[in-house]
Amino acid sequence: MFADWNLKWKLFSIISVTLLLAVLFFSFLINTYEKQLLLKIHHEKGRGLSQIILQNLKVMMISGNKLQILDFLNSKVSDEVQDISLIKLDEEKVLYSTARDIEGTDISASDVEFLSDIKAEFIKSPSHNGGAIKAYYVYVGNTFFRDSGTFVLRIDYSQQVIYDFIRKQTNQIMFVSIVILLLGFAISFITGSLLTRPVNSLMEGIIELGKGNLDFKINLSTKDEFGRLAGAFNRMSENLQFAQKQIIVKELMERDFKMAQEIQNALFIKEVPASEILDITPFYEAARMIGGDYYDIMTRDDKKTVLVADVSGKGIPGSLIMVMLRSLIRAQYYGEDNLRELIMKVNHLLMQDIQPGKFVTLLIADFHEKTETVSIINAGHIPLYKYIAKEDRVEELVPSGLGLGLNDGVIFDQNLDLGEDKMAPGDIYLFCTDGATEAMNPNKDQFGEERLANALKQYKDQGSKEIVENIRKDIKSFLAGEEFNDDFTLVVVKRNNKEV
Amino acid sequence: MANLEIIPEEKTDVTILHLKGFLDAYTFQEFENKLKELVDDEKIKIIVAMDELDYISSAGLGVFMSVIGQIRAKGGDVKLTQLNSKVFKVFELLGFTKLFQTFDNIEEAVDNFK
Repeated sequence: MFADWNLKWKLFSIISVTLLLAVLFFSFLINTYEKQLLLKIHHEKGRGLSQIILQNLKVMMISGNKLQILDFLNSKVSDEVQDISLIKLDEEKVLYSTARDIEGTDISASDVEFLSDIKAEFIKSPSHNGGAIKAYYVYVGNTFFRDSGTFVLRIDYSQQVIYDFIRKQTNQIMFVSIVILLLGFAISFITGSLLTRPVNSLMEGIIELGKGNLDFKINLSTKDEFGRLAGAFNRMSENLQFAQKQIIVKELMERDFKMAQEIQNALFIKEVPASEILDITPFYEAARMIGGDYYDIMTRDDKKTVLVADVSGKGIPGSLIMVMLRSLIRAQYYGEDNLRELIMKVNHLLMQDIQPGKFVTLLIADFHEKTETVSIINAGHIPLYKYIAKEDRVEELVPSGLGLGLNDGVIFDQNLDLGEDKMAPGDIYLFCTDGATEAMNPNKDQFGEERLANALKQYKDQGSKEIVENIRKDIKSFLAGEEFNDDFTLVVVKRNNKEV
Repeated sequence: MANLEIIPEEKTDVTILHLKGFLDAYTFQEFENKLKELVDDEKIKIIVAMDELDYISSAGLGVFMSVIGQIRAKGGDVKLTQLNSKVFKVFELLGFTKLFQTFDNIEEAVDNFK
C-alpha cells in the first residue's frame, strides 16, 4: 500500500512517525527524570524546613510548652506541607503532631521500617550531629531536649500538590510536544511540497514530450538538482527537436531521391523495339537508389542501336550526367546517321557542360538488319563481347576511343575508331558495365571477363532473356551474399536463326 | 575498406607521389587534395608512381582529369610511371594513355621534364 502513495505523503508520513516516536521517547525520559527530580526537590525542601523547625524547637522543647510547640508546628503547615510530626525514636511513639489523631500513638509500620534504617545509621555514628533526611522524614537529634532520647521530625508533603505539580509539568511537556509535532507535520508537508512540485513539473514535461510536444519547456529556475534536471530535460527536448528536423529533412531528401529514381526509371526504355532477326534483352540494377549507368535501345530505318554507358560517380551527380548524356544522344541520333560523327558531336556538346574530372564511358553499336553489319564505337568502355556461333568462341571487340568528357578536340577525335563487324545466325553480343566484370566476392576476387565469356558460351543456345537471367544469377551466386558495389548493366543482343 | 597511402618525394623541382593501395570512390578525395596542394605551392611538375597501386576506379581516374587542365595551363604536367598491367589496362581502355605520358621508371619521367 505504501508503494502506492505519492511522494508527498510518503515524506509526510515518514517524517511524522519519526517525530512522534522522538517526542514519545523524550516524554518518557522527562517523566523518569521528573520523579527523581521531585524526590530530590522534596528532600532539599524537607532539609530546609526541618532546620528552621529545629532552631525553634530547641527553645520550645526546653520550656516544654506543648501548645506553643503545636502552634509553631501548625504555623508551618501549608497546602504543600500537610502535617509535621515529632517522633520519639526510642519509644517508637509520635510525640507531637499537627495531625491530632496520631498524637501519642505508636508509629506506623512504614515508619518503623524506615526508622530502623535511620537508627542503624545513627547508632553507627552516635556523634552525628547533622540532619539525616530521607524523603519526608527529618532526624532531629538527641542531645538538647529535656525529654532526652532520639527524635525524628516527620514532614508529610501533600500528595495533591505533588500531583498538581506533576500534572502541570506533564501538561507543559504535552504542549511542547504537540507544538513540536505540529511544526514537524508542517515542515514535512512543506518539504514534501517543495520536493514534489519540481517532480510534478518534470512529470508534466515528460507527459507533454510523450505527446510529441517538443516545444514544451519546464520552467524551473532553481539551482539545485531539480533545476539542473529541468535544464537537462529542456536541452534534451531541443536536441530531440533538432533530430526530428533532421529526420524530416532526411525524409524529404529520401522522397526527392525516390522521385529522382522514378524519373530516372522512366528514362529507360519500356519496350525493346521489335526486330525480325535480333533478340534483345536489357537488364539494369543500381547499387544505390539512383545510379550512373545508362543503357538505351533505339531504332532508325533498318538499324537497331544499342548502347551502355557508365558515368564516373554515382548517386545524384552521376544520374544528372546520365540524363545529360541521354538527352544529347537522343537529340543527335535521328539527325546523324554516322555513328562516329554522332559520338564526336555528343562528346563535343558534353564537354561544354561536364565538370572537369567527370567522364562517361560508352559502348554503342548500330545493328544494320539488312546488311547484317555491326558498327561499333567504344569510348573508353569495357569491350563488346561477341560469341561467334560458327567458331564457337568468344571474341572481344574493342575499337579504341577515349571516354566522353575527357578531351574536347583532336585527341578525342583522332583516337575514336569505328569498329565494323559482320553478324551471322546464332551470334551473341554482350554489352555490360564494369559493375558486372568487377563484381567482387568476399575474397576480393572479381567476376572478371573470363567468367563472363565462359558464361556467354555456356548459355549460347538460349534466348537473350534467359542468357541475361542466367548471367545475372551466376554473378549473384559468385558474390556469395556480398552487395553489388557498383551499378550493373547487361544488354544481350542475339542474332536469331532467321534468314534475311 | 581498402586504404590509399600517398608518399611524396622531391627531386629538384619535380615532385614524385608514390601511390600505394586503392584509389577509388573512398580514397580519391585524399589524392585530389594532395594534388591541389601541390598546384597551390606552384609544384607543377608531378610524377605519379603507381608500382604499388593495386586498383584504380573511375573516381580515381577522374582526379587526374580534374587537375590536369590547371597544371598544364601553368606550364606543368602530370606524368605516370610504373603502371602495373591491370592499372595500365584501365588507363589504356579509357584513353588516358593518349592524354598522359607514361614511363616504365621514375628516372625517365624526371628526365622528360628537363
